[in-house]
Amino acid sequence: MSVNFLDIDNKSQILFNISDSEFSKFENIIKIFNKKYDNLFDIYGDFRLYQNHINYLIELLEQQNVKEDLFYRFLLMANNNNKTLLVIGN
Amino acid sequence: MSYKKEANGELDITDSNDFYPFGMNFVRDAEENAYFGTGSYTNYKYNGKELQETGMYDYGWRQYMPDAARWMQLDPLVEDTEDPYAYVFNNPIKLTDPDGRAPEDGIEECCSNLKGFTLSMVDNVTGGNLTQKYNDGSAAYNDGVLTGNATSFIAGGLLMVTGCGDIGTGSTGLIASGGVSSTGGGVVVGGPGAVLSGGLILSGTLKMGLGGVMMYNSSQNLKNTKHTDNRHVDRTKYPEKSKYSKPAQKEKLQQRTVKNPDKVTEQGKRTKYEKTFKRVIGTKGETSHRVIVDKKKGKIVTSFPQKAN
Repeated sequence: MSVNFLDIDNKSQILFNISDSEFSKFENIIKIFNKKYDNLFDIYGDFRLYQNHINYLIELLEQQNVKEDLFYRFLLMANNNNKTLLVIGN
Repeated sequence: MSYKKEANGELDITDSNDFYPFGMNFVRDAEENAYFGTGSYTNYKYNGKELQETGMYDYGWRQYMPDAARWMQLDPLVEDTEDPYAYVFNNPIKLTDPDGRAPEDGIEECCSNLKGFTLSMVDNVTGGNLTQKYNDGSAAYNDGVLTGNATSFIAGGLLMVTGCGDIGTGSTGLIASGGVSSTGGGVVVGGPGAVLSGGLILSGTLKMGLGGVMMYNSSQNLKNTKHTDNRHVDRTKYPEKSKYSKPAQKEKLQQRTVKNPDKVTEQGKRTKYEKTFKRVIGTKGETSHRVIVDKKKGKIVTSFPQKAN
């Protein structure tokens, strides 16, 4: 199972996905993120990540020193292209 | 008991049997000999199952030996039982087995279904959460709740239509009574007409309100089932999601996972139940099952097959 990230303007293509086994790496980050954004990151539901959310996730990933991670690079790319992401949970 | 219809329309009993609880035939007086013929409808005896030449009853998935009170074969759902050869947990008075896989309690099932239906109807009108409070976790109960939600959605829609009609009639009546009053002398006639129309408008508004509440609540309650059905059952949507190989087994798998999980993880407002089965349950060879339950509402948020850890 995986959590899929799509571009809100082009939903036909999955831009990035995080599988269950990989997801455990980000549990802490998601926990902190959810504290700030009222449980927005729901891996079993669908939600949107706007610029401010993406920025905060990047910040958190930087704090945890996971800059080499593909997820971090993907978020940077989304941020640079001013994209709003649609996340489809399990 | 087997019977046929005579030419004159009367019923003729062609075979009658009495059984001991586990299915052994009770030998009676000579004049009431039980019939046995190969390939005849009179062979359908204990529990309506066909008696074979071997002396065993054919239950579909397994052959039952009434003399030994046990099954000939191993339970196909062997991982869920401690005694894979026992017939209905050795309790044939209370339970039956419809197809040789698992015992069922017919009376309890009917009651569970009715209970689920009634509670979900009450919930949809009052906005309460009785269905979760009294949830017994059975498939029949869930079926009842689902039927209740669907029925109250339709009933809510009908109420809204009737309410709308009442408001329309009431308004027309109100205008007409106004007309009668304005033509002079019609005050007395127009007065009661206006009261009647006012009443109709009020009842129409109430009906629309209640209908709206019922439709909203039932649509919310139906939503959870949709999530799993859309993503993990429907083959056309969400191709990247894992799918149940046999969608009809979804509810049974959910119940087994929640009742007897291998691993339970608390995730804030939710509880994650995981169970690994000894057979494949997903289309991509998944053998493990995950069910996420909302703690407060007691509802299943989602469930899906997953690869065993």
